[in-house]
Amino acid sequence: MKRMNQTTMRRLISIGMLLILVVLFTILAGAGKGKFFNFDNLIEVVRDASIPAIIGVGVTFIIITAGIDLSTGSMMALVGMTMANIYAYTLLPFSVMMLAGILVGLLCGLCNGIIVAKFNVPEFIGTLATMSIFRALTYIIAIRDANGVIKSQPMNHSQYTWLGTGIGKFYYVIIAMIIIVAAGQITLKYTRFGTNLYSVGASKKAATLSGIDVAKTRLIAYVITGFTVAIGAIFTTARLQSATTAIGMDFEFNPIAAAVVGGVALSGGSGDVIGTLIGALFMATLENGVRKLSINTAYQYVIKGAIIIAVVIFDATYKARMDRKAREEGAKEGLE
Amino acid sequence: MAGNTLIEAKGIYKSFSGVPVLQDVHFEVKAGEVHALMGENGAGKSTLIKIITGVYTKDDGQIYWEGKPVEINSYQDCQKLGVACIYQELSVIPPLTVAQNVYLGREPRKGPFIDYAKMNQMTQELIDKYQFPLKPTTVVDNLGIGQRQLIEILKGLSQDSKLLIMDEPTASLSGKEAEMLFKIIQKLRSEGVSIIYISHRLEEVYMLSDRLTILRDGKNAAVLEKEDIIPAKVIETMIGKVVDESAGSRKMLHSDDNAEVRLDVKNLTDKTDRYRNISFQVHRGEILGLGGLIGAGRTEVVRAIYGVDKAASGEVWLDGKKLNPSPKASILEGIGFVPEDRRNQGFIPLLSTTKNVALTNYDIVKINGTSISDADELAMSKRAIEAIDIRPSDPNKQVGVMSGGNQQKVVLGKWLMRDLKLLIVDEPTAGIDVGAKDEIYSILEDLAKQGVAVIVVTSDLQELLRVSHRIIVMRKGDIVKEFKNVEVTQSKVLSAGQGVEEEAE
Amino acid sequence: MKKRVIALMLTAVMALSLAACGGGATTTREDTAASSGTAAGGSSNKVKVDPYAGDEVKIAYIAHDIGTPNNQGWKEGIERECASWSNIKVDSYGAEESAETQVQIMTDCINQGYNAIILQCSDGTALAPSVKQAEEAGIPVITVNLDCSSDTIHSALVMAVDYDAGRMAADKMAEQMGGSGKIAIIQGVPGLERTDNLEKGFRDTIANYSGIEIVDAQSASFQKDTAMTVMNSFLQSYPDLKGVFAINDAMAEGAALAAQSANKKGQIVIWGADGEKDALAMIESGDMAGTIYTNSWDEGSTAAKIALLMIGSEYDYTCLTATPKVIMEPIVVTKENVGTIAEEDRW
Repeated sequence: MKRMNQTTMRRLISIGMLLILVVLFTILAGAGKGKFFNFDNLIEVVRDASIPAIIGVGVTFIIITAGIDLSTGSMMALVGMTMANIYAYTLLPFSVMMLAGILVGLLCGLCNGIIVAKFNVPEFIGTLATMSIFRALTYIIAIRDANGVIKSQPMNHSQYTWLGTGIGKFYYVIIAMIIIVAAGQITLKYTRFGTNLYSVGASKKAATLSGIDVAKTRLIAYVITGFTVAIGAIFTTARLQSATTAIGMDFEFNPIAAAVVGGVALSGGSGDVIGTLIGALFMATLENGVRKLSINTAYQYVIKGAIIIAVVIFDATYKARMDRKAREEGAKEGLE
Repeated sequence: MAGNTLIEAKGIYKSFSGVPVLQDVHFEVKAGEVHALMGENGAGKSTLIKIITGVYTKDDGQIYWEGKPVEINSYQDCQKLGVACIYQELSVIPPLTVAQNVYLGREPRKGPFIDYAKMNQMTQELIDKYQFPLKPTTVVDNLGIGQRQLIEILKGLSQDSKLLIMDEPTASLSGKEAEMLFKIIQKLRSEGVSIIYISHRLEEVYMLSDRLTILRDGKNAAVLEKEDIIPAKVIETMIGKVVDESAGSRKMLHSDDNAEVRLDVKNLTDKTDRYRNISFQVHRGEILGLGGLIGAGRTEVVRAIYGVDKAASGEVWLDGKKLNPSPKASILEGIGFVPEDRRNQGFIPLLSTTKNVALTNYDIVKINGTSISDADELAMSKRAIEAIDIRPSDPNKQVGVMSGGNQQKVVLGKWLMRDLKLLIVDEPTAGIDVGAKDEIYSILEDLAKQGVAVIVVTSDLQELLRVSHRIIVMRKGDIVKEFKNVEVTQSKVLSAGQGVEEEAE
Repeated sequence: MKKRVIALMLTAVMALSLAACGGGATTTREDTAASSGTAAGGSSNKVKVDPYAGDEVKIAYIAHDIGTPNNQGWKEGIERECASWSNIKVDSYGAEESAETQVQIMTDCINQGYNAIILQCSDGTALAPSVKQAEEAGIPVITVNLDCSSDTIHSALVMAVDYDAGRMAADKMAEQMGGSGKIAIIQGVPGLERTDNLEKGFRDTIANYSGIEIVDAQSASFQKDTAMTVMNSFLQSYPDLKGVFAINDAMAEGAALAAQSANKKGQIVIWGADGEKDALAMIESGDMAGTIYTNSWDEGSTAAKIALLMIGSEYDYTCLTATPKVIMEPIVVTKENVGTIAEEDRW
């Protein structure tokens, strides 16, 4: 094939957008210490991108199946609060505390999966509902002071907070992100489950006819998201050295935005985890860079919003064009 | 060649919401035979296949596989028996490669990982064996419809099945690709594989099949042996009445070049090249038939004339006035359009006849005053019902629950309320019973007599010959043939559409 | 107004000299490694600059949610205080109501080398490590209203009264209601220390009045429009409702509007807290009965003054045994005294 593969093309475009953004901020906000382009700041950007990227792995799986998960933020809070309870009221080892957190994440994911895949509740509504439920559960199990007022639970034992640090500037959360993204990409591209995700997203009917258990595939995608959310919650609470009911408030759109910017189509069937990683880096760069420009905060939001819209519009137009082109050329080849 | 019975369905009954679709159907396929299944639209072919492949559950009856009774409750069940089905609707997954599609759900693995090397190699072997113009690693995104259909076929072949079901496999194949498929079918038969072949294309059925089961109105009409498969007999059995020999042939008489030109289409070209340089005229009182295979670009052309989709270049003139096509402008100019996809584009299923008729006609519905009253709408729908005999005549009945024929009449009826200059109908009788078909034809003929220019797009050759005053045939986006004032037969139109004119002559 | 600020500064200095014992956390976990970081004493990391001598100085203001009137008031106060010096630059950041984002902005500001940070903590416990990190890097942190957890010593806390303000509101409300009747509370989001304390002060004091009963408490997330809905449901459930205490003014305004459209204007004693411009106007018009006024501009400029002082000073957090507190004087505002708050003090 003379023409470049559409997926490769989209990947190059994501990387290009990221690089342009980095160059742009380097010009506008400068290079060197205390400015935009320096090692310390760039590693912070990667660190900020890590949690959306980790959770983005699960969310990408779900979006590839043409689903969506709006409950990840609340799920993070519930996982965090579960661990905070164990931290506050027991002397169980931290490993057990974290395992319990992961278990809660898996259960939340399973819950979403059953609602969406088994009972066929539309994803948007189903996970919107669990978003409220998980948050409400977090309030219910929240740690309160003697007067019954909800408080922020410190989790500042050094055997736990080390997770929020790193080997020098190589934060553990970045290392975890690299491992999880790599595992996610391998799962997606080199296992039957990964292929099944694409099939389910592209056409549930076709997938069923190919003998794929559509409900099971979707369910597992939600459970995996539960796992990645739990990992995200562990690193978040370790960095904050505490847990509150407010963790992950409005967070759910971050991994979704990262995925969309990275080329994962909300209509399902395309994109991958590496794309989401690039998207998360793009968003983190955007936030960090705009902050450096010392402009009114209100405009910061406007710029952020405008860029996301521009990316999505570009993506939609571009995809439509490429699809059409592919079909035409394909059709022509068919004639030969 | 034909051996023992491979699969046998006995006494199959199936009904949907009380309407019987299959009644006491018997269907039998022997090992190593190509068994064709035919019937008019709605005769129950698809339902029968879906019961055999486990998509639907039968109400009554029994299926036997190699003489033993079996229960097929899912597609997996039928796969286990060794049945593979190549569906009419494409079920390939665009973001995956050819090989991934062929082995979807059955990927060879090394440990937990897919063994891509082996999978690509296995696919390549299949491709080599059947000589398909495909590469295992091409992403389906980049392929045309015909190639996608080939993948579908390859997928069926890869399962080493004993029975292969093909539902309209040539619908989106080019002539050359279809030839290839016929060779494969013959090869498979020689290997002892049974094939159920469903097609509307009589020629293919005559050429390929060993036996033919014909369904009519959900019942067995006949099972014909190879030597009995002759066109007249097949058509007779399908339609259920004797047709005279000349039914397949007709002289185009009515076309009159001197009549006033109503529609003049000049060099219409599509943005995405689905049709190019289309020029033709339709005269006052003329019914122009637009023939050709599905995917030849006919629907796209008429949609561009009506203005639903925009053409890249070219002009549309109506009664000497240049149009800037858009649905709203077209309605106001007196162009009516009955789309192919009736249910999704032709009417609003949940609304009543009255509302559906009123919807396109709100500019003319009011009798007096400024506000539109229910009474005005009702009056109009009553006129429509009367004009074209919609049954039941209750103007408040939801259109969605009516029969196909009556639904189409509602769609036509709403255009009849307007002062039409041009009416475009796309596949006007698809899924409509024979009686209602005739009524629709006579409505079109009446309109023509009143001076309306009519364009009929249809894949039904019989219909094309029956209603058209003049026929133009499209193939792959070009007008390839015009039949005017000559003797026309179904096979001539078909040949032109398939681009095999010389051989046929 | 100037006099009051100076008085407050004095309070701060006094606080500096007080050796308060750090209240330990009540966790059961023992951690030998963690406590080593704080108050090591000795050399300061602070870069020696003097803003009053014309050295280039930049201050970051990091809000929990930059859009609220309170935050706008603080921001303006900080900017006004610094406006007369061209060498002082102020940058404002909003944390989009998220502690995670705020921690990221904190790290960013430390990396960028701000000379001081004025911070409204989204979550005191979650921000504590960042505050400590900033102070260790020689960047004084002044918290506004929402403190970070008590064992993290930092340069200063400037705050409006919380618990006592709740008490003051309760007493005045009880008086206005004639000592009897039903009260409902409109809450913000749970888990925020200052507002929780405000509510607690209110409840504790109302408990002293046997004729007054708190019948319900619902959250309206600090939002005016949500408060209207909550108020409507209160009016449905309790036709004889006599008083409403909203944790902030925005919600009190919403409640007052709901009462207005139910033709109950002035019949229900509606209280807020903060003292923003719109609320004062509603007290004048009789829609609201009262609020606890704090001058946000003063609060912001006080924080800025302390920041500039700390930047130029020899001292840093290692010299402190507890975080110095500057408490803004609260004023109970009702119809009788609302006129005494001059137009230029309304934010």
